[in-house]
Amino acid sequence: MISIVSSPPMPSKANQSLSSNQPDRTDLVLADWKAQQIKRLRAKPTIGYAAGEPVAAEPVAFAALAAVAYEQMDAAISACDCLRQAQNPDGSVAVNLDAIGPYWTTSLSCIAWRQLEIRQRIQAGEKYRTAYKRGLDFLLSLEGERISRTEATGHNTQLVGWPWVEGTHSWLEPTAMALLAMRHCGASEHPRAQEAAELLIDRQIESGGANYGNTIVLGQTLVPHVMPSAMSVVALHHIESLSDPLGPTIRYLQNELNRPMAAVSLAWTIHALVSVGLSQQQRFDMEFDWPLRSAINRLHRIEDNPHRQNLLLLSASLADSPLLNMSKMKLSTKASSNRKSQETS
Amino acid sequence: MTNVPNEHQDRRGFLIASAATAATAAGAAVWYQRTHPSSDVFIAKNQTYHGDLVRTIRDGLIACQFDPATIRGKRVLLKPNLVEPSRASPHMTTHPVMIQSAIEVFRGWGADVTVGEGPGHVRDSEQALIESGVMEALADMRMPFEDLNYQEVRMVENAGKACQLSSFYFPRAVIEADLVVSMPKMKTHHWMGMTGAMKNLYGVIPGIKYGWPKNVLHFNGIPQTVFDINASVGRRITIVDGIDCMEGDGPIMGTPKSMGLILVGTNLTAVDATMARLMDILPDRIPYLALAADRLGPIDDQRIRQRGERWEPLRNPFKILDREHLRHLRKDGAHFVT
Repeated sequence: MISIVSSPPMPSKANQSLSSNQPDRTDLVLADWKAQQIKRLRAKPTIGYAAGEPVAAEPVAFAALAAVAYEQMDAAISACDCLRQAQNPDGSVAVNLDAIGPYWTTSLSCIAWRQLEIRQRIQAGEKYRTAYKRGLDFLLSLEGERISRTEATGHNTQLVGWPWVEGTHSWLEPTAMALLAMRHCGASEHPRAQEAAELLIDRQIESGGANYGNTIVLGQTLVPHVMPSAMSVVALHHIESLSDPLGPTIRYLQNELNRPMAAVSLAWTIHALVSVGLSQQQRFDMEFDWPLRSAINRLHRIEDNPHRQNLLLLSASLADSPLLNMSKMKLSTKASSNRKSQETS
Repeated sequence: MTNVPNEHQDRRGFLIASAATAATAAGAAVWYQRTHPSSDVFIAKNQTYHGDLVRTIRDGLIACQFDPATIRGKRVLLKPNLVEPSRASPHMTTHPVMIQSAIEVFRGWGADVTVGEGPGHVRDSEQALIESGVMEALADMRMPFEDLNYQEVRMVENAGKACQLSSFYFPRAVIEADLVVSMPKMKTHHWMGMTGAMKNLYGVIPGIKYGWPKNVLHFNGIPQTVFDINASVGRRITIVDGIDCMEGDGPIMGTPKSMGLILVGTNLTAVDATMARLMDILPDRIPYLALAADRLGPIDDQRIRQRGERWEPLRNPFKILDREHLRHLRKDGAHFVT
């Protein structure tokens, strides 16, 4: 499905056909689907994880990003305002938009606010800038717990990233989300961002891909999973000083794309592979028609899930996805040397 | 797959005050122990995924004095183990046919059946359903899936109090259920020794609140939180997939072991103790079983009434990792693997 060719032009418009190579009625179906989804998104941007579930921060943040991607600014403002109203005095945004927590969704809220600020006039964007700056302050106050390093675990348990829940260990996915937030919001040089990048690289499985957080446990290498693998690639794309630390993970994702993939995993995978295409001189000739149609059809059969549809919609904007709208990041000398010593050992 | 309650499902259970719910659960557990000093455990041998599992499960429950009339018109939540599904390791997760068979049994008894799980390691629940084959199985049965990781939650008091957590968040489907059916896979566990009906209830804890993995539980002690969750969930029974099992580096990376067994029981502690004996593991050496003994159920063989097959002739040692923290699980020190 994916072939690597030398530097073909990347799709550049959100509304561009997903497959310019196959201008058949499949394009029309996807275009119709996108139009329907945009209409649905415009009508109700504040949603929960499933139809009928309470409004929650992650679905609202992704609704905001999808709205930004398709220039549905009223919907984007509505979603971002919902997150802003739920922001706690310490800058955090809880998963259920309350004061109870946990607060890993602060990262996604920051990304949504920042992307809306970019699209807004300077004055109108100020309140979102204030919101994400407070959000970053909270993120910087939150650290994963170091745990003793023993022979039982293969990963570096001393690297500090972000936990799902305060008082627990750093895990890959919340760290990837926090790193993305810091990069989006102009804090990529911060030591915490640098360490987060190190952590994500450390958690990659040697043969490719990433498990939810461990690499080796009690001597056995764990199996990779699509979503954390794809999140790693997205969070680490456009980083200078990395030769090819994610090559095996990218190849793993390419292979997985040939198998049935659920909506959320597919959305992150498309972002990951598009981001690789943006970052590397050797670009991919990517064709996401089949997996997208497959995921859309599966979703249609099992449930009406606006959150998952929004993620697919966002990923269908390919290189124009606001999730990928970040400048390059440079790893510090310390981080780079740590990385090299790990590679050597 | 939608989690939307219909008009007839008025979230009645969800309106119950959380403290009252916990008190009921704790009271029910204590009451059960006082009135049931012994428990029944049913074992069926020579079982296959192509066989008449509906009959086996039905016979097993009846043999364990389960009264179908108690669930007629009531909500039954089937909770399989889909912790980290992979097509390459079908012996890791509850087989889809087991779930289908249980659905048929409880539907046949007039219950309002749902299937729910909060996969412990995989955040994309839809992917977990695809990988495990459970999505197709549920579609065949026109059965919705309750995503326990992302569903609306309510706080329930920790009725066990073995760990320091004062309360748990439970998803709506768990709180509303009149009966939760733990449907684990018979497996070894590289930290606990084995995982069964009680440990499987980690999956009723929502990832959205506890993470992937549910690291809050680990930090508060695995045995203690297993005990506490079981003490805090309402009425529970179990149906164990012991047909194609996992030994060695379970619960994820272990190797297949064929046993051809189905275990059924109305007391999860008693069933887990029997499962341990079948695996040639000393039940009182499993930390959460030691905690649960005589509080949530019996682990003493003298107080477990065997129904169907006896466990002794079926005992077949499961290989256990040769690690310091696991070596005490057996008397003879045999059947360890590196």
